[in-house]
Amino acid sequence: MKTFLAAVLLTMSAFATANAGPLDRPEGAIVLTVTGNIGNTNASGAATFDLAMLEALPGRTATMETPWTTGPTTFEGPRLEAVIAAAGGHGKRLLVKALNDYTAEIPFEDATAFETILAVKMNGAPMSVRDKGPLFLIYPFDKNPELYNEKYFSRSVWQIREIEVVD
Amino acid sequence: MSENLVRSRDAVRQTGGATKYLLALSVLLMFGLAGLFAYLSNRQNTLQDSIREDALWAVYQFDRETRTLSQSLTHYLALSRPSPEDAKALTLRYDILYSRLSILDNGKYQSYFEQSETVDALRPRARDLVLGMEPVFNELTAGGNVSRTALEATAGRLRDLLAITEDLLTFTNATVSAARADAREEIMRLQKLSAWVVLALGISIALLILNLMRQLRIVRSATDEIEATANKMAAAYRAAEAGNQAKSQFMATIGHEIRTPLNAILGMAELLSMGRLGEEERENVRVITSSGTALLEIINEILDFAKIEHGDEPPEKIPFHAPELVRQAMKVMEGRAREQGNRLELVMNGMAGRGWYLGDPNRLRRVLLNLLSNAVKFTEGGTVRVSLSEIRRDEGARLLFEVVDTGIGIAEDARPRLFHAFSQVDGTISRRFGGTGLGLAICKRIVESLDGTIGLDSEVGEGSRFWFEVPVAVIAAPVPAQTQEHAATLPRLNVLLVEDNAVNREVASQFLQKLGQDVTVAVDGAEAVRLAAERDFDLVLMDMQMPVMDGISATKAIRGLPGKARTVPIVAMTANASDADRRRCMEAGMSGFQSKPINMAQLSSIVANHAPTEARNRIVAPGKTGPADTALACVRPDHDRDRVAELIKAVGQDGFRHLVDVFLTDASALLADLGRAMAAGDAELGDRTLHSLKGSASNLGFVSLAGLAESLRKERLDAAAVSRIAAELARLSETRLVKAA
Repeated sequence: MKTFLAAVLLTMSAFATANAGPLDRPEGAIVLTVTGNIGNTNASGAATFDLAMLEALPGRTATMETPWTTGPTTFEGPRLEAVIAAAGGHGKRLLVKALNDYTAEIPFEDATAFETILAVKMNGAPMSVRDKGPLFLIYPFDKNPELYNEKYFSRSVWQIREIEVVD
Repeated sequence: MSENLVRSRDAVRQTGGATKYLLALSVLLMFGLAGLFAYLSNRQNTLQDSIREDALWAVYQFDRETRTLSQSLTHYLALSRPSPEDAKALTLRYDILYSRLSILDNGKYQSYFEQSETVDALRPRARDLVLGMEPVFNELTAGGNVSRTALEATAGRLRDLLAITEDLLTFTNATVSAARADAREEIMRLQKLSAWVVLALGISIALLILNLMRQLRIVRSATDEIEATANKMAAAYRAAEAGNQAKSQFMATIGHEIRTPLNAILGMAELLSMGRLGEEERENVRVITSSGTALLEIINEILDFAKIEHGDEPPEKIPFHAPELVRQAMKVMEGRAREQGNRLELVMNGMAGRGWYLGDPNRLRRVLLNLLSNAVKFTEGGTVRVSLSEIRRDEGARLLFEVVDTGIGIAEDARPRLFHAFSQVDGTISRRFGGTGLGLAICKRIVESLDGTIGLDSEVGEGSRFWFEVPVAVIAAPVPAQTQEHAATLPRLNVLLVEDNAVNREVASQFLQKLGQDVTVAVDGAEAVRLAAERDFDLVLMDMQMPVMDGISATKAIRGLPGKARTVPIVAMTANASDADRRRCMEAGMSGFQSKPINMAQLSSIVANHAPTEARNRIVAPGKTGPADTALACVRPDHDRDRVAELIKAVGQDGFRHLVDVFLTDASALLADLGRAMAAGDAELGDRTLHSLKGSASNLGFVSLAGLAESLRKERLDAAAVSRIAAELARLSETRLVKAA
């Protein structure tokens, strides 16, 4: 059943993305590497993405307050679910790793149950490392205010470098 | 109110006040508690704790990234020939450190950093140091050549930064810890405060409950107290009532005790007056008689008053003919009015119907007689006018009786006292006119018992107008009296007449024969039952009080017989016409009711109304009426003139004489009975004999003898009573002899 669901999701996201079929090779600088239980790879055992590939995935733009920013801030980026689907990932947990080796473990459902995004832009501009970029895991605090607590704050990893899909 | 009740009431009020205060206090405490809760939850909502922890975390990260960058730089400097990747890795570390810098400037952490002067001072220094390194790293990122000296200088700066970040970490930690402790302390304080408020609330509620319980207890005891008081009052009322009853009883007894010797005095005086007396002695005897009569009247009034006080029977509601009632009352007063030289007049106004009403004629008659007797008494050589009016009001018809005299009148200030018991206009009145002053009080009570009003207008020296009005129901004349002209249409019936009194039997029998009826007589109930069993009758006329078997028992027995006896109309004849008597008659199975003495018209209508259907075609031949000998010069004032006239009209002069003979014969037998009853002390026999005597006397119109017999029934039978009866009988017999002669 789970496999079937994953397959369905995969198919859906495959249709949703412009690049149907196997994952393209990134043309620009690699900003994200997805490893672990994944079906689609474009490197040795990993699915790598550049910014363009991520921006091509179905995403969301939302404005909200966060503990790390001052005032309402707009975030834009692909849905975490779409990213994992593009890599053909399936599992129970996601290990989200940051540039400084900070790792947060989040349940797979966080990607499916909420419209969680991997923000690539803050207030319309790409994020440098100095601005907590290039990728920032943003929970939909605007849509689901009940998520606005420490549990989800600690899962909101910035300067993301890699996501590992594990069981 | 008893002392206990007052105490209970005060206690209830007091606890009520306490309850109010406790309630107010509880509400206040509740509000306080709610406020505290709101404050606490508000504090929780501000997420102060998490921000505090985040601030510490941010400083820790900053310190960590500084350390990492320092190590990376040391590593980089140690490389003999660093590659561009090495440079890139190094600048990444700087970028990460740089990104942490903004956290330090985050407004949300400001309050924590500002709490410590050291932290506040260190922060800009750290920022300056990080920003100071930027050109070197920017150069490296751009792939430019950076001198070793510059890098070493940067390493030196990083060491300074490390010292700062360490201090920052230490102080931030201290600040945050202090803040955390403060916050915890505040929470503790609030919790303690809440605990106190809750405790106070608990105590307040406990007191409230205690107070309510106390109140409940007091109320319960007060209720008991009230009940006890009510019982006490009821007992007191009963005692008072019993006292009143005893008083009335005493008066009744005393009245009887006085009346008995008084009757003896009157009787003896009467006997004396019949003897041969000198003029002086005759006058003396007359004074004895009149004084004794006056005394008897007073005692009767007192007894009546006592009886009224004692508790009344409810007024009756029976049909009566108002003009007839007034005429009768006036007839009674005729003699006395003549003696006083007064003229009696009757005026009738607005009698729309035929003068028939539903009410209590006996009580009305008494009031009217009393007013009339007063008017006659206080008027000399004048006029006493009685007027009877029917007044129609929205709420129903009322009968207004007025007695207007041209007597001495009553002064205005005396009027209000007039209707009070034992009160007369002044002391001289009783000396001059006699009386107890009870008459009007009795009248007032009677009229009020009939829901009516009584009053007077008067002008001293001109006369008085006494009036009373009572509500009545207007009815149609109950039974149209059959006149002799209609006798022709009467059916001829087989009538069983049951009557123990010889005179009554004779009169009724003669009347019936005159009406063309076949009459069979029975002298008591037992004989009536036997006759009814032997043959069929069309109508039974039944006396109520008879020896051997009374009318009620006889009726029941006849109703129990087989055949026609079960349905034959039985009409009661009785001198007692109360509602209760009627009920008893109807319950026994009687079909009708007729009060005595019966006249011809009444008998005729009874025959007409109760004739069974099969008997209706047996029409009697037109009856012959006797010679209408109405020359009644001999009739004395103590005779009922109308009655005598009717009898003579019905049975003729000879028939009447015959009836009187029968009466006198019967009366002497009754007199013998009376003597026997007196000798044997048989009160019952005495009463029955007097009742019988009264019945026959009134049947023949001998009203004074009938009145005497009736009044003696109420007293103890003694020689004086018997002698008075004997004297009256002797006088009647004498009159007859005189007339015969």
